[in-house]
Amino acid sequence: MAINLLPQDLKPKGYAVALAKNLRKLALISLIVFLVGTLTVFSIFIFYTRLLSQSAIQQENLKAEIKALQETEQKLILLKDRIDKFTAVENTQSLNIGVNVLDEVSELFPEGISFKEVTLSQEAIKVAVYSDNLQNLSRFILSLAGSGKFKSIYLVTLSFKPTEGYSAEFGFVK
Amino acid sequence: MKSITRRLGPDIKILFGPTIVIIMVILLSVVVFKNGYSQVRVKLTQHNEAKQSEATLNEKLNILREVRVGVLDQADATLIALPTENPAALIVSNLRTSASEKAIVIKELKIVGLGEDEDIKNMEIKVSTENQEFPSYVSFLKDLVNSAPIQSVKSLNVQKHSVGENLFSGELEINIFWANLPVTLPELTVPIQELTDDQKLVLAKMQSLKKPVFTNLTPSTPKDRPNPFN
Repeated sequence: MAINLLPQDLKPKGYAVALAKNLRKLALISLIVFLVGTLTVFSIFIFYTRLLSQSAIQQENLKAEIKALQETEQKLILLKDRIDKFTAVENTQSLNIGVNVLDEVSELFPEGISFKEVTLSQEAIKVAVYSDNLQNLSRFILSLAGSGKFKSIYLVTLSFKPTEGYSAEFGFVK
Repeated sequence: MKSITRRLGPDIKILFGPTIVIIMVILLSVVVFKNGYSQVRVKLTQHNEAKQSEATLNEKLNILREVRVGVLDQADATLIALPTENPAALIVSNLRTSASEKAIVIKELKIVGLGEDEDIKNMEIKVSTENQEFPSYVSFLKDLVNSAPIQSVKSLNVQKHSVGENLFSGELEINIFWANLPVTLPELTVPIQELTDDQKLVLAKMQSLKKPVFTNLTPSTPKDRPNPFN
């Protein structure tokens, strides 16, 4: 049995020894956790750095392939540019639709009806006609109304002159 | 250091070592994890951005590979429908041809310059006509709006001279358009979209416009010149 010759007051107390033992364990565990954590952070860093460099290479390859198809890209961009600008032109206030109205009205002309005047403006599409008698005029109105091609037809004027016969002006909304 | 530890009591002395180690580990952890976390976050953000631009490039490449050659071949038709240069001369020539085909007499023709928009430039053409058959005038108008380059009717007034007389006078104002081509290609990383269904419909419409007739002059063969000074 070993003899302890040290004075008893120099000997650490029991609770201090136990605490020190626990602290040593804690220090060891925290050191291990610290090392593992550091290693993990470092590994993640390296992993993403490698991924980034791989991605950079991949992007360069893709850019080279896209550059090789530059002519196709140019054509596609040109096509889109023309289409967009053409649409913009079509959306401006155009009376081209009035020409279709005029075409459809002229197809519905019965015998005894003749054109007097046509006006296409931003405000209205108006067609004035001559007729010898009211029967022809009413047949014309019936054929216009029955065609179903116009959203709305309205009578602007209806007049009679012995020298000209009946004259009627219609407004159209397509 | 030794003198300090010698002066400490035995209880503290035994606790001193592990406590210092724990404090050091905590301090190092704070430094390492704080910096490490921010570095990893930067890399993560860079990686996400790289993945995104890689996906954009891949998509762009696939679109460029899959885009139908037939669609691209219509680029010429779109350039005729909306030219890059002022098409006034071409349109006037078309007007004259169409008018003569429909027995319409062009009495006066004026070209009026309008303010040039940044993107789309336009001009106005005023045409005064005289003709005998109204349906032929409608047909003339239909030819006009269905022809390339694009023209839009601004105003129209056609009047019959008198009830008995079969003679019509027409005053027509049309707008003509042209636009510059894009000067630069977008950046490689800018995504590109395929033509939408609406754009395909507009393309079909542009394609369906009647193309102007170009006259090809055939080169003449050399002729005998007995007198070279004449």
